[in-house]
Amino acid sequence: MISITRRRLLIGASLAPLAAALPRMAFAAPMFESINMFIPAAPGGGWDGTGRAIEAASKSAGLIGGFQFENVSGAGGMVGLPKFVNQRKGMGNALLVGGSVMVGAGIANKSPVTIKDVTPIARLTEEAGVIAVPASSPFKTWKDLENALKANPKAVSVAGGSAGGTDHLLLGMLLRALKLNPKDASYVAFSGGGAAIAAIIGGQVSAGISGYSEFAEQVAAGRMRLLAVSGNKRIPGVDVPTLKELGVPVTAANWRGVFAPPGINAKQKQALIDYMTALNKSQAWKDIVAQRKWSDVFLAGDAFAKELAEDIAETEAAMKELGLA
Amino acid sequence: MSTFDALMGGFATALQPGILLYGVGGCFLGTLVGVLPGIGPALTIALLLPLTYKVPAAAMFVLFAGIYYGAMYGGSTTSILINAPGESATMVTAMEGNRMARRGRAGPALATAAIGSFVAGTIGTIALTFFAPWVVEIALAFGPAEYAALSVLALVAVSSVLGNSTLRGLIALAVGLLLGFVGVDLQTGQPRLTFGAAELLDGVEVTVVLVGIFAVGEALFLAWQGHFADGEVMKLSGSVKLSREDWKRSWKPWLRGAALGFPFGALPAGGSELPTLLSYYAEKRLSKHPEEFGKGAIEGVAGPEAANNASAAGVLMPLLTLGIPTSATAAVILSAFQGYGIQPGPLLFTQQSGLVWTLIASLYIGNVILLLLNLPLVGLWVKLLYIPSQWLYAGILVISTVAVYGAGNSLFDVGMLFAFGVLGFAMRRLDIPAAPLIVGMILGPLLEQSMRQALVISQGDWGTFASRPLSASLLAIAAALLVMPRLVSMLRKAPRQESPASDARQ
Amino acid sequence: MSTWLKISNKRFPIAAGIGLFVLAAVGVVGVMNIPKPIIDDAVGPRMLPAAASLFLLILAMGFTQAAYQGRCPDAADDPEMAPRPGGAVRGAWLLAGLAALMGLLATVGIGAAGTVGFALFAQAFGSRSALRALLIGFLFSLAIWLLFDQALGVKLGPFLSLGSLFTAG
Repeated sequence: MISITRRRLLIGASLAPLAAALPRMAFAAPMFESINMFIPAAPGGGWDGTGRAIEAASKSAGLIGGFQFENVSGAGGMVGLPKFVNQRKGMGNALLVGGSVMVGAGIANKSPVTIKDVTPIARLTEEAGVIAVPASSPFKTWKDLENALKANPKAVSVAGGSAGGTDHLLLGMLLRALKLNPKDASYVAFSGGGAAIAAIIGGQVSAGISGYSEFAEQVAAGRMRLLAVSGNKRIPGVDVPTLKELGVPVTAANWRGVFAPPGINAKQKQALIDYMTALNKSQAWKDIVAQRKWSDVFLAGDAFAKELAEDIAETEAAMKELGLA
Repeated sequence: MSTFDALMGGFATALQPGILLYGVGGCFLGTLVGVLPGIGPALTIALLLPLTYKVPAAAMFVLFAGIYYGAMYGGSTTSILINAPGESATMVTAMEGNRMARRGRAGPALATAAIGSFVAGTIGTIALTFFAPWVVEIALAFGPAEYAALSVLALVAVSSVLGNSTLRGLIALAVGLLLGFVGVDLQTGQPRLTFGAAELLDGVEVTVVLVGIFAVGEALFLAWQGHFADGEVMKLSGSVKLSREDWKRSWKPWLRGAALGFPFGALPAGGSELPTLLSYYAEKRLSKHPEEFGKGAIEGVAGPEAANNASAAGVLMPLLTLGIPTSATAAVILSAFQGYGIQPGPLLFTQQSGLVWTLIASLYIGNVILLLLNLPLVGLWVKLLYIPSQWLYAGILVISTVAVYGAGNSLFDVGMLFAFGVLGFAMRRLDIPAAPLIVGMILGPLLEQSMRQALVISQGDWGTFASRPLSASLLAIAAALLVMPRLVSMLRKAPRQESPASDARQ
Repeated sequence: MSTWLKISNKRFPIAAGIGLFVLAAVGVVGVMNIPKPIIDDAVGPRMLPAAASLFLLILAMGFTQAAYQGRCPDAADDPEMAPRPGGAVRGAWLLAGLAALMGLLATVGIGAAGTVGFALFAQAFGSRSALRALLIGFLFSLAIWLLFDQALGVKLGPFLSLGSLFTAG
């Protein structure tokens, strides 16, 4: 395979404006002539944003000649996934953007084709979940909320995304860790982040769960208070303890990554892993990650596959307890 | 006034030639996608998102503002001329607007829609400029219980669109409600009425049903009738300008529509369908010519179209002041902000004030550009009806199909489009109105989900709907609207019935 | 096909009434297939769909009864709205056009699908020259493809999958 030298990367970066204007005239020999990027979600969503960011970074780093995008949205990726598996089987230059939502959706809908049917290439970014309350809430700390939950979980309404999604699963895991029955959760599902945020800052619910970036601005403006984060470590620059620190053994994060079709050979797989590794090292990618405030959790190939298998098993167990699988 | 100064600063940026050009381009593009059935502003802006890597933020948002408002103006055109609304919000406009067009009054219908859009869009933008923080606080007081009460209120307003027969109108409503429940249940994650089809897990797309029943159904019906052989499908006589009478009958509905539309747009689950429906209901009730409704009453075009555009301005309020997207388009604009590394939120006005005020200024400018663009176009649009029907309807069918296919890249959607086209044909033939079906599709899920959310919060206590003051008042208004007309007519009849009886006794 | 489009005198409304019964029945079966959630709710996922199905069932009864009594209007019986002779043939042309679009769109591309579909639709609306319809259809499809796929970025695939003359560059 072509190795990417630092010099070549610099040339690529300096030629970025030109490359953008004439996408097929990258000077450095690209790693792939073209990449078929399959997004199992509508344009404008999180997976689409990841795919477009990969395109932008790859082009300015001169890694790829050109991109073809295809968006097939629906049901947490479950409409697009079978299409990708059938149509791109054995194609060495096809990629699918997916993530933890796809794991849960496959289990909840009992889909015949799931994330297990594609070839894991790399995990790119992740975002930890946060537990927040309205600014006016009587719950000042996690302990206050924990005590209220232990007293009567049904009296503590918690807002989040659709049932069976990452927010709901986190609540289920929390109740289990507090030795409560996850089925007693008073979970209020909202479609789209906007409606859930409005319900939380309007004081319509006791608490809310979502990814940190959804709530960050509300917290900064003093309309919401964060009580705990679900990641392994604290979020840099955010003075909120992790659940582990608070004595609740729960970690969860919403990750995004890329997958190849089934039926590709070892050489094709390695080429895609090399490409993703080169992308992750490029300055253009680092700039985008910093600008979007994503956290870089790059993990490629077999190591990623192993983590994914564990993630699927954990999600399945949590969903069973919530009565969703 | 610091708000005023900031706004002037926004105008200074937005009027720079390089940026203004993006605004004009956005208005053109928006009008175009509004006119084309099946592609709306949300999809268009989403497709333009990759440009965020190349175009500076100010220019980009001015472009988006143009597309957003432009699509609202353009959407009414196809609704009025060929009864093919591309978005649920313009469906109500189609009801009276298309009847006007059939009577040879396409010009005035388009003109009242364009001027009403301008008036309401400008009122909405002024309200956005000066009152956003207060309106947003009120909007936040709306919880699930209030949304449930609001959808009950809207169900009462459905009575105004049931058409010639209550039975047939209710049939359309029931089919719509059933369609609205298809897909994964938000509260429990269970698939409902999907019959194993993965394509149905996210529910039935309202746009597909709308374009199928209206555009495809209408084409099937007209082909079956075969009346085009005589010449025109529609009368083309009549002036394209608004008469004095038209102005007199339009200005109040414009203002009422704006007053209804703006607050609904600001509600996190409001949307533009509810205010257009309520505006139509109000105009039908208040009109001095109620007998004209269903035959082409200009109030029925002016009010809902104004409500639609004012709600478009309202939607931007929670987006800009709180960072909360309340419509598909707002969600895509939000991700454009994120593309520039800007997190819209309560601090956006202070941290990115230059950008925000440029965006708001461009909304004022966009409204003016669109009025200047659309009024002269009225004459040109009306000429569309001179196209021989074989080319016009063949074109509409091809465009509708291609748009639906392109939006989802799915032949399943195309199949649904055609199936709903056949349903639309049968409904036309049997005089079953289409509007209640679409309204049911939108109201059913809103009523169900908000009711269940409210009951989870209240731990299953139904009293929550009566004990919350806002929800209780909304339900009281709904009850009053339902009972009052009957009560009034009973009281009017009662003395007349009594007097002969008392005469007899004497 | 040709018979049901021509029939009048209550038969179409009665058929529609039966169709409504079928739709309501599909709703009832669908509701019964919704798994009972383990979490108990005041209003579960079944209640409102069940209510809508039953509502439709009652309305279907009312409609069918009205249809039998001849109280349901049918445009075919309305002197102003009734179709001219040949309605079935025109309907068939139109449905053929829809079938052509559906069959060709994803396989041969919008160029062929749009041209053939347009010509068949034009035929349904009484076009006199098939050649002219094909030509206009081709130009129209090309314009739509350029506008949607090339200008707006709504992905429609290559204009024609045969040969690479018109593929997206």
